[in-house]
Amino acid sequence: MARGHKYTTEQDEFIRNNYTNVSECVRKFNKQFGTTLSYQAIKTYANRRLGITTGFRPWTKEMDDAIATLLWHHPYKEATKIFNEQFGTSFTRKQIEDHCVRAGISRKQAKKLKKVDSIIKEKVDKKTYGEIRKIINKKLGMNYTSDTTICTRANNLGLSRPHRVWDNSTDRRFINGKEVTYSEYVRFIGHRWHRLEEELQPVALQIVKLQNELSNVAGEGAK
Amino acid sequence: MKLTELQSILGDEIKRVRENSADDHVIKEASTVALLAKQVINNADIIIRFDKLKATQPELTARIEELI
Repeated sequence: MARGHKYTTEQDEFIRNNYTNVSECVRKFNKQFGTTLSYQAIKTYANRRLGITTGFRPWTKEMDDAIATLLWHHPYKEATKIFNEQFGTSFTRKQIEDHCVRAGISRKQAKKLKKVDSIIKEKVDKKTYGEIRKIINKKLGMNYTSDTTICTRANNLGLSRPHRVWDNSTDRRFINGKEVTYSEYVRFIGHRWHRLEEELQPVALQIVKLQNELSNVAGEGAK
Repeated sequence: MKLTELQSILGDEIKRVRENSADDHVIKEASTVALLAKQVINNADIIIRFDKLKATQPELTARIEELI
């Protein structure tokens, strides 16, 4: 346990002479004095008691600006590569990501997604996922082709649309101009028969009606 | 078989099921008819689509027929 360690003058001097990089200094210190002091212990001691810092400041304002600009045009992986080439550094993608999170630098995509989420939050009770998707594509220039994406984002935000309930008084469904019941409609669409060639659709509708009659009979039998 | 004939068979079956809902034999027959009719229209859909393709894109269909 490092707590309560009493630093000798020799150790103070050692830290002063080797404090250019905290990790390196800790490693050398522990090796030299046979201790097991932690990174944080030596760092705190050096800063508070000895009043020294490593002067190692990997992230400058210029670097922050550069990475922010790069992230507007590239994903993290590419941005890291370009950044390292530009500044002669060897940051990993994870280090860059972590720094960006700490410094509040977000990718263009991340910013857009925040806007997407805010639109979803605002519209989820009033519009269908399809309508929300169209609004997002129009407003933010996104290219969502599937309503499922919007639904998934909404679910991840802890939101869900109320399921559409078949309201017999107002909600009427038609297939090729003929009014159908809820179960007939669901069967028809479920079989993907709305994609059949037009001349076959009346026959498909009759099959659906027959299937419906049969399942009604089966339902009554079960009762 | 014409589509109208299939429609009339299906119409008759619907009627039969409504009138004889307790008759197992009728129900079984109607189920079979529904199943067969499903297959018929799915096959018919492919045939109609292919015929339309033949009419509009003869070169492509010639190539498909070669492959078949």
